[in-house]
Amino acid sequence: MKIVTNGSNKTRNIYNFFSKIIIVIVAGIVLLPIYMIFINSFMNYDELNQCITLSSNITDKYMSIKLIPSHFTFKQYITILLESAKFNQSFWKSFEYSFLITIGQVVLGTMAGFVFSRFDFKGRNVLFFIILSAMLMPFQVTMVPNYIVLNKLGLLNTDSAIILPGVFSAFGMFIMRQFMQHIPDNLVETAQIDGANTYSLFLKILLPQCKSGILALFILCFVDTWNMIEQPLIFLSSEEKMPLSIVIREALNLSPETVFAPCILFIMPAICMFFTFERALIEGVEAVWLGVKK
Amino acid sequence: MIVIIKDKRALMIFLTPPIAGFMLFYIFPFAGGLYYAMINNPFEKHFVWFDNFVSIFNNQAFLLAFKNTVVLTVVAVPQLIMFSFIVAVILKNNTSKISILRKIIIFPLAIPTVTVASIWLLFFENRGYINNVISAIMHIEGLNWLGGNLLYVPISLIYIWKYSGFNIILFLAGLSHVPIELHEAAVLDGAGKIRQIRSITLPCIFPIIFFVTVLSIINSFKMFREIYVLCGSYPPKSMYVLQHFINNSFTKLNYEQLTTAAYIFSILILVLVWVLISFENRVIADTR
Repeated sequence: MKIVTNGSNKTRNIYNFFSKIIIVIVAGIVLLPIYMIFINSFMNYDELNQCITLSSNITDKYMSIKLIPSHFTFKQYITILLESAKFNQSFWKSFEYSFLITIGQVVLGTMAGFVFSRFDFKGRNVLFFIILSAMLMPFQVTMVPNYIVLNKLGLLNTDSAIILPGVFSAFGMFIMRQFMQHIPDNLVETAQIDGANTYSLFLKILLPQCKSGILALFILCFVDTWNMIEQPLIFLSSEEKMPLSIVIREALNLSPETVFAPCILFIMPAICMFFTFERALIEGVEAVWLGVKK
Repeated sequence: MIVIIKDKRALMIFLTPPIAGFMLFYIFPFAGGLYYAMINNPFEKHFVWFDNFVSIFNNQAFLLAFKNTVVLTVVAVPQLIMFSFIVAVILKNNTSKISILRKIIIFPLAIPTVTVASIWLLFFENRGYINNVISAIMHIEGLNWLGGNLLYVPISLIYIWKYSGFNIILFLAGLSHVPIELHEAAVLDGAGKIRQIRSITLPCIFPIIFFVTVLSIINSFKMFREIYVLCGSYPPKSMYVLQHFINNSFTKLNYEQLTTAAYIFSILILVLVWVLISFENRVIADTR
């Protein structure tokens, strides 16, 4: 790509130099806390204790960053993988919740997106206004209506208490509407002239065009539900239904010496997803944007 | 112009499942919840109309939370968007080198709040890393980051750390599609860098800005988790937000106060959405 600058070669070089420095700094700041979790997961109990002593015990000394553990040990990993049934159980619970919510949002989101982008009906704009508002509400606000319904239906402390409000949330509808609105219309027109009915139009013409949008929604939704904290705390009460995010939170207070290894295992699915589908995520966003330009 | 499909039956089939569930879990109970905001308490159930709404505006804790929420959103969201935009503009021309950066820059989104908050504590504690550096360089006692008015600094830093990566990627995607001819023409007309950004770049990437703004607002409300993990249920006054107020009402079983506050919060958001949508419509009308 040709760069338009009205400066000379020298200013361009300086500019390149500075943007390289900025890249390094940004990457460093982003990675430092993650690196510290990673490195802490290989420390033994005594060393960790030294590292994460907080100022509650009053000392005059400042803490200094420890970037390499003095004794590498896999003890934390061995403890949780082999000796803790709770970890395994909550890991699969987390997976179940996130997967079902995400699938539900993708299916319902594409349906609603199709309607909001290709149909005209009374109250469409009002409905979309409501959906957008509901999406912006923090959990503490939507918690009230969710709780009332779950209570009425007798679903509190069941898996559905987590899954159903997640599946029917507004986020998927919003993303897919934004995405589908910008799919070029000539495909739809051609299909209509060929006499395709609405269902095959949706399944055969629009859905294949939505691939990157669906993937983008899938990643964002999965990561968000994977990290949820408030919902399980309010809607669930029995231990064995808690997802990993809650179990880790509790472990952090009880036994910080074994919490970093589960953390690393916990962030793995989400990070793998980012790494694999990053391209699709960007394509999804670009498609929305390019569509607007047409 | 978008093709409009006129198929009433298909409309019902596609619209019913998502909207029925959405109505069942969000809208109907939301309307029904108004009842709880209008009774004196859930046990006696005296109907008091709007008394709760009047009395909550005399509640000091609520007023503080209300003010802080508005301030936090109005300050932190533009800060995040501007930071992401500036970094994206700087990185724009180095596309070949940033492909790996693009991958790591969104990692913070995937890191669970609780874990990373424990790492942030190490940084911002009274005896933490940052104060260590400060006292070594400037020879003064470290600052009280988590205690008082300074709390905004770590909170907004974590907010930027966590969410700027994704915003930068969105902006980069937008910037890479701004037609180069427009810039060439502007250079011929003698427009400077700033002028080019204002008159060409910003209008061209407006849809991205809209999307980024919506996401950033959602995420600014999610920052409650970080504040909560760092400071507990009763943080310093400067960071006591509506979510704290609602949460604390919930633990005190003060349901009428909880629902009233939730309704006021939602009115706030309705206004915000209305502003966003009318702004979007105006810009779209302008560019046509």
